[in-house]
Amino acid sequence: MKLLDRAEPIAVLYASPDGLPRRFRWRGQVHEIARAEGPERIAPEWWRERSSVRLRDYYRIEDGEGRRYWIYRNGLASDGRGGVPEWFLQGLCA
Amino acid sequence: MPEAPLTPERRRAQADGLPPPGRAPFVELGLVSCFSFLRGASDPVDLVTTARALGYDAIGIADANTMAGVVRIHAEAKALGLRPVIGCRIETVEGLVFLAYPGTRAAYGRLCRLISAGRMARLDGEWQEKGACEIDLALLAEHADGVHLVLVPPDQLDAELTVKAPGNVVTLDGTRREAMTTASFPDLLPHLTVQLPTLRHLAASYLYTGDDLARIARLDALARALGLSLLATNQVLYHAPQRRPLHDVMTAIRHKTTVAAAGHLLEANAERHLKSPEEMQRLFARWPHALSAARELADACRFSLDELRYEYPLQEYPDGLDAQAYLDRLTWQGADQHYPHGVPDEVAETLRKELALIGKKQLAQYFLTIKEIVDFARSRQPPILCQGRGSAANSAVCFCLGITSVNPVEHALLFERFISEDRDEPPDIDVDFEHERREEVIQHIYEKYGRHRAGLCATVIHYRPRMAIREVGKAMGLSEDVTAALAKTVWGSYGRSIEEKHMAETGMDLSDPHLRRVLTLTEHMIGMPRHLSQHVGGFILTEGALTETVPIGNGAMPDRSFIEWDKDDIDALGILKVDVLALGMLTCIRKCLDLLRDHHGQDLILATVPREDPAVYDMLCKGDSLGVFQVESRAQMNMLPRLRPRCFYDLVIEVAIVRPGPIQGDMVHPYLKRRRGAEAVAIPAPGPAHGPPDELTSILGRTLGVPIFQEQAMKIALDAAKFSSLEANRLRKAMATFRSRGMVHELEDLMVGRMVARGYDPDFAVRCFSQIKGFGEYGFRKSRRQLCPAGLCLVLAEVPLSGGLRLRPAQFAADGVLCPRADRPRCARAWGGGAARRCECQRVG
Repeated sequence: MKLLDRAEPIAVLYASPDGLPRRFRWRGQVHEIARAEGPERIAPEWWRERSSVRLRDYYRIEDGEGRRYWIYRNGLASDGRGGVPEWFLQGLCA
Repeated sequence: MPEAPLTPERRRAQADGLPPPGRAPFVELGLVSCFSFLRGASDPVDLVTTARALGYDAIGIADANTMAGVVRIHAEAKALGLRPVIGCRIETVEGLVFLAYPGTRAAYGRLCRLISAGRMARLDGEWQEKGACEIDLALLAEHADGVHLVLVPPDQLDAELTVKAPGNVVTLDGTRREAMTTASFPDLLPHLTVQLPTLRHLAASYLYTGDDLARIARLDALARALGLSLLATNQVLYHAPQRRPLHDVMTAIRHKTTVAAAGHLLEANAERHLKSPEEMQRLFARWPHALSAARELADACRFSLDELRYEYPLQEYPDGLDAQAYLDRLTWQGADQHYPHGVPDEVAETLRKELALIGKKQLAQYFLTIKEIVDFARSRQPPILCQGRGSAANSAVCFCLGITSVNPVEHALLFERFISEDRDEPPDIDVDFEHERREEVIQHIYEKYGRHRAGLCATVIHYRPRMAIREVGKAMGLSEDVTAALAKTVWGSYGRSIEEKHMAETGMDLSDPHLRRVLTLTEHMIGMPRHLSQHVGGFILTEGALTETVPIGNGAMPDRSFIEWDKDDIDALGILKVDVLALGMLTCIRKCLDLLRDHHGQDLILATVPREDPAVYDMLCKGDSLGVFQVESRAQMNMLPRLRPRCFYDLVIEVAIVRPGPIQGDMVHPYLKRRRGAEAVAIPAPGPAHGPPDELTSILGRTLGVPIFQEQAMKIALDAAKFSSLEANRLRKAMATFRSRGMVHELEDLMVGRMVARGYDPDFAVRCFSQIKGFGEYGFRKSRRQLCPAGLCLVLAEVPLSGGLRLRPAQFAADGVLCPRADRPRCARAWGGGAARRCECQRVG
């Protein structure tokens, strides 16, 4: 798993609030998600983070071509710390 | 001055007046409360209140290897219309975890015995350390009959565990030898189901660990293969996600590290809170049978703590009399002794009334037990000084039995303070013993009833503000000097909240978010239980084995053990207890009497100490009361020259008047004015159409028409406001607990309204009730200190010494009180020698 230095924003299709991702678009390309595992929910390190930091739900996914990625959704729509949560790509299996 | 309560006011769930909840599709059985010390971050009140709000109709409880919190869950759940399901989380030495839910009373008894076994002895048979519990699989199996077991799988399913299980080697005679087997959890499971026939469920939790779906699916398959069922639980650690930080702090404290360094010891998220039945349905959408399994198990466990029908140890009484008849005989015998010229009619009437009520409530055995203990103490050579006190001093029966020494002839008693028809709780007879010899009394109780039937109550040691700030601060990475500075700020020992102005004293920056977090967490921590300790002297006595009613654990000292419930829990369940308390002053008095005898040849006992010595009152009127029990505080010293006591009853008033009750009711000044003749003594009366003008004379006569004592306040409610005994009971409860604020306003309207309707001066009525509210803060009752008579008189008696030194035993008492650990023989020699000896407090007259 190769981690990106900076997580890159992606667009994801999923059932709100924390349904499994179905499809995502990264760097212009759309990928169908064949398999997904998660969410692994990591809540903020409250003792050192600002109270505006949101939890993250991490998913390990595999697209139609068998490539695997590690993505996360930043926050829950209802967490009161922002609007609709955004998704990011954190890593991929080279 | 009575101390503020040692524990912060105990919270109670507020009944919300809504109808009981409808049947929910799920019951959460995997909850730990704060009684799993430093593992659960929520109080039973919060858990139950949340459960109610989420629509549950029943709630389980499974604290780790203990039943310490079950009574609270039981009481709070019932208050909110929920059914409590009592269980325990058994964690074995092999690393296995079970939720254990007893289906019946008998099964509950076995579970208690299991926990007791684990807490009283180590697995190798040696004395178990206080607070520790060792249970292995074999021990669990021995006690599991009727106890539904739910196995909680380890986080890593393939992690290896080692258990003693029947091995693969079969000897020639067909037996299988037990061997230590190390295997992964799935491989061990078949062995466990054989060893534990009541194991029929496998717990499954959706905790957002990333592999939940796969994991639960695997557990489901595992369960099916062995004929078990999955059982859903959220493995609740706290009632709401907001409690996660406190839980993290607790984890850090428990592991002696800081939150920042704790790493994987902390939960990654805040999901382990109580979730609604709907949310659980969503999470377990693929396994609805896991939810229904939990519901069915909860339904099957009908055991309730109400079933702990308390059976008092059966005793035999002389001449084949039953308890009530024997009590009757002893009471009248005692009455004859106290009133050799004939029992006064009033007293006889009171005795008959009391005995009838005692008979009705079947409390005779209780009184006889206390009497037996008091007689035992007095029969020792030398006799142990002891005295009953508290609300029991309102009982003429207790006086005749020799338990208390408040003569109903001399003091107006209020039996309703002690027992009444409507009171469901058992009465409280506290008996003080010389603290140095109380141990003999405790040993006697153990011998007489047996250690298996007599047990001391626990007391819950909570986090106090200073300890809380230190530990929370440390876990949050604050340095010691910072936490020490914070601890020093004026919270007092009992404060609950941090006030900005106090923080400002430390020079610290309150706007720092980290500091604010620490302070908020500290507030949550204050009041959380830390551990159980042995109560000073509250005993419960059972007929059957005590360990089948409540688990017993070891104390810190060898040969000391105590039950897991505290006095409030015992009261909540209606179990009778006996309080064997220690009073340092009694030891002091004993020492004084000994010294008098040894050095001055005066052989006095408590009853023959000369009373009412005018020189003593001279001393007190000057405010010279240092070292005199009950009247040595600054406030008292201030009041003494104003009130100028000249007789014992004046002192009783003196002690009572310096309290929030009379102060809040604005009764102090009127009393003092009347006493010095500046105001006429007028006793408030009802309007002529409603009652006789002397309605309150018998109540208020002795205090110049001004109510001072709690008993008077209650009697006014009964006589002037015509409270029914039910209403009086509510009033008594409201006075005894300053937390029932809702009740207070209702009662205020009732009492004041009725008094005014009957023609009483409205101002007087309002002040009476203010006084009652004041009593609620610091209840003080006249009879509480009836212990004083002999004690005070002794310390006030002056004993002239040869050589012209007027030696005041008040100084003896001062020595005893102010330097209790002082070397007494040294003191005695010094005094005996007539030498002027400098001691911390002393003045030699």
